[in-house]
Amino acid sequence: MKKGTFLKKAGILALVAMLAMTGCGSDSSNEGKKSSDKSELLTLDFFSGPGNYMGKQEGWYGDLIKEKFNIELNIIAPNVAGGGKTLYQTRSAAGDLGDIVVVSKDDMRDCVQANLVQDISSYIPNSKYLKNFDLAIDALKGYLDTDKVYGIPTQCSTETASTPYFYGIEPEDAPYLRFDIFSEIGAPELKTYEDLLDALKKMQEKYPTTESGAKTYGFSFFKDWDGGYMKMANCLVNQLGYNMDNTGFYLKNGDGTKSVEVIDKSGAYYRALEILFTANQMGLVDPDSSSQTWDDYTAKVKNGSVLYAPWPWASITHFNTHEKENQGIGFAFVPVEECKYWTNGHNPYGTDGNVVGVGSKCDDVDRVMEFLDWYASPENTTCYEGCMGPKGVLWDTVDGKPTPTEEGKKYLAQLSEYETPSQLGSGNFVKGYIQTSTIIQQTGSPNPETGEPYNYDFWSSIIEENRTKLDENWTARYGVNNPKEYLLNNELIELSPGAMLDIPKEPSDIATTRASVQESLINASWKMVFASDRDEFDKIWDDMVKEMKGLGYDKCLEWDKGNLEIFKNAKMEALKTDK
Amino acid sequence: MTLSKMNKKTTRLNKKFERMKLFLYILPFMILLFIFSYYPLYGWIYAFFDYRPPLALKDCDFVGLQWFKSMVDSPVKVQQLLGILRNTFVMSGLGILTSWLPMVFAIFLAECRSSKFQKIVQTFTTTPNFISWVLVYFMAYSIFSSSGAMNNILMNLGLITEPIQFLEQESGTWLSMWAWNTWKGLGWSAIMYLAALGGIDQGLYEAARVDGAGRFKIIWHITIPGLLPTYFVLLLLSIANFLNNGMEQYFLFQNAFNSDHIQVLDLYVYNLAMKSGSYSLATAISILKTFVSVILLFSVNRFSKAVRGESIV
Repeated sequence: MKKGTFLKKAGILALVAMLAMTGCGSDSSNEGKKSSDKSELLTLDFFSGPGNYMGKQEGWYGDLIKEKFNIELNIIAPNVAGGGKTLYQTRSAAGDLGDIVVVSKDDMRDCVQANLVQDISSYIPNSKYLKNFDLAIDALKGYLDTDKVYGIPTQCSTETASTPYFYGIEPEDAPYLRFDIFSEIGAPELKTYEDLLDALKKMQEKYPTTESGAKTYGFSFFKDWDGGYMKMANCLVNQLGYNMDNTGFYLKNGDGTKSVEVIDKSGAYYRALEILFTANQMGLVDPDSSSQTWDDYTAKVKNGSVLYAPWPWASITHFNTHEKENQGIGFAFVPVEECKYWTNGHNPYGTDGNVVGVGSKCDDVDRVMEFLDWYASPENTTCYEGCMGPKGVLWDTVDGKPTPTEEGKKYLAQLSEYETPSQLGSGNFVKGYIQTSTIIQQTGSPNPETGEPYNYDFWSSIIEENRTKLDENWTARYGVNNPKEYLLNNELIELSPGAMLDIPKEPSDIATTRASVQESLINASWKMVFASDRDEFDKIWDDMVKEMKGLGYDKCLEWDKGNLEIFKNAKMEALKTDK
Repeated sequence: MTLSKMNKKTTRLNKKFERMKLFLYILPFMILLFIFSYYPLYGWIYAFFDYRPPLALKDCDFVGLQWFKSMVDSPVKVQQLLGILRNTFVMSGLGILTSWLPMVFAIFLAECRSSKFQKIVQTFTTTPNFISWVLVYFMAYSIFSSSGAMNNILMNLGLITEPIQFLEQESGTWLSMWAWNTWKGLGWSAIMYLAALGGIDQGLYEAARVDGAGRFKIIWHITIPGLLPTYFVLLLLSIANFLNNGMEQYFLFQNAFNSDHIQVLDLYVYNLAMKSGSYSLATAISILKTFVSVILLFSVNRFSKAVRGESIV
């Protein structure tokens, strides 16, 4: 063989290796042409931090925006891609998140600093709908410490900050029990959480296994959502009138006037662990709790082996069906006298803490802003999950009230199986909703056209018409129409008015310290709930407090103190603006 | 110029070409090695900054040795770090102490008379290596969870009344982790030895048989010495990886109850750094890990030199 071919071969090999390497780094983004011409189809990369769907927006909503704006949405969702914030971090490191960017307020601060989003101030005054949200936009300006507009908060309510937000007619954090079994044991009055445990024990004895033979438990939980605390304990904290969001290791009441440290034995967190520990001693806790996931949990709720749940969307949504409810079977809210249910107020500054902005690499800002303006309109809001789509198809106004049409009633009977009617397009209706998990106007706030919320769960026409045997039984026991009425009449909620919290960015050294302190808290919490006796329970608590202090708990607490103050002032401010 | 002189010159040129050729052969791989093994060391710089994506490194604060200091700035943290090192060393140590298992397994497998049986066993023991840890955990969960097969059997037999929490036990974590690891890797690791077995001179066996050696004598005096070089190379490689005992397995099997015994270095980096988003701290811990690994490798190399008179590195 000749030397030349050898050299050539070796050279080619090296070249290929080099090319393969450089190929990794090259940016293959498709350069969109700059044009404001609507005749050209515009595909927008929609980066959605809260999104749970990845890919092109399909279905009737996809058809609608294509027809209206000749726009297609390519949704990019880190939740679907997996790996936490990895997708956000890699895309932001590459300098291009997308044309439309939805991230948390906190991340938005970094995005502005890293020049990933652009100034859209000039578009707001001339907008048709966006300018209605100036309260939120201005507050965000303050938060981002700039006089330019880089984003619009999402899920903004048009209700006042002191109007309590309910999930339809139910509170978000409250005990939900299998009301059919609870009635069978006589629906006793529950003064304290211990009474509730006794009731659960009786329910479990009455109904020890499901039809399929699985054992029933009062409590079943999972570890997926343990963030800064053990999630299940935190649910009980919320039912005891306290909350830990935004204030680190401080538990505070609705307006921040009362607060207690998480490691305080007289505080709600300790009490919550105590309740769960007692429940476990009574044999009420599913032993799979520490190893199962949210999916395993919902499967258990569905097959009836769980008798208690802390949220309506974990119990009612997964277990109750119209058919079951008509037989009087299903989960329902049951009040405990000792509790004060933490309830957030409507938030004119944005409920989910996310912000929508326009990416700095976006070429056709005019068209994007035209689209975003409409995105804040009532028409677009009706296309969001939980609503009934554009007016005139599934719903219409009757005597000024939103009422489902014949099609709408068909939808309510079939829900996720319902096919889109031909006026709107084709395919499954539910899959055709807006898939970005982003909406500027919150669907729980009223539609100015009808005076009732966009979400049909809140419609008086549906609430009245859809009453089931379960509802009747509930009303017979508690004397009012629904949980919302009961809670408001008896003043059982701990209201936290909606507000813009200007929480400063946590320095990284505190963040890392906090991560290890939190891990210590979470691990100890689980061990305490499953402790074999009271002595062990207390010993684990004492060891935990020692360990947390050793890891730098006090340093974090010092920081949290500032946030607590911010929380208190923001809530006060919100109440003042309300009046 | 004489003919011989000219010839010499061409030979020299030829030799040079030959060397050049050989160099070019390995060049692509050297480039790859550089890109994947040396270039990333540049990333160590992140350990000295307060790096927070999406900000560029130049926009982040330089913090010097803050992250290194923060690892040991309180007795509880030192204790925690020591506990994690202990777990890492114990679990890697268990692996190394039992690293002769695949060799023995391969020898016994080769001694099987029925080649059909041999093939079946080999297939069944190699397959687990290709099952991802996620699926392994899923299996463990369906067998050993409180409503899993094991508890159902025991309860149906009337041996226990309450389910045993196999997965939530703190005691025996190290052993059970080792057992899963061995179950998964045994057949796969034996492949190397099976190949080495083929390389042993058949004449030696014949001679031994003529001399009247029995089966175990042959294994002891011929097969094992024939496999030892392979064993030592693999041992050294695994010691270089002493601290890299992976994290998938421990990540999946961890829960609040066994965390004190299951957290190894890699898992600690993940739990701490990824949850709080501190890439800088993660980098700092990785740097320390690299140093410890290098020290371990050289000391084992020296040990091998002293004991066997041969070194690898």
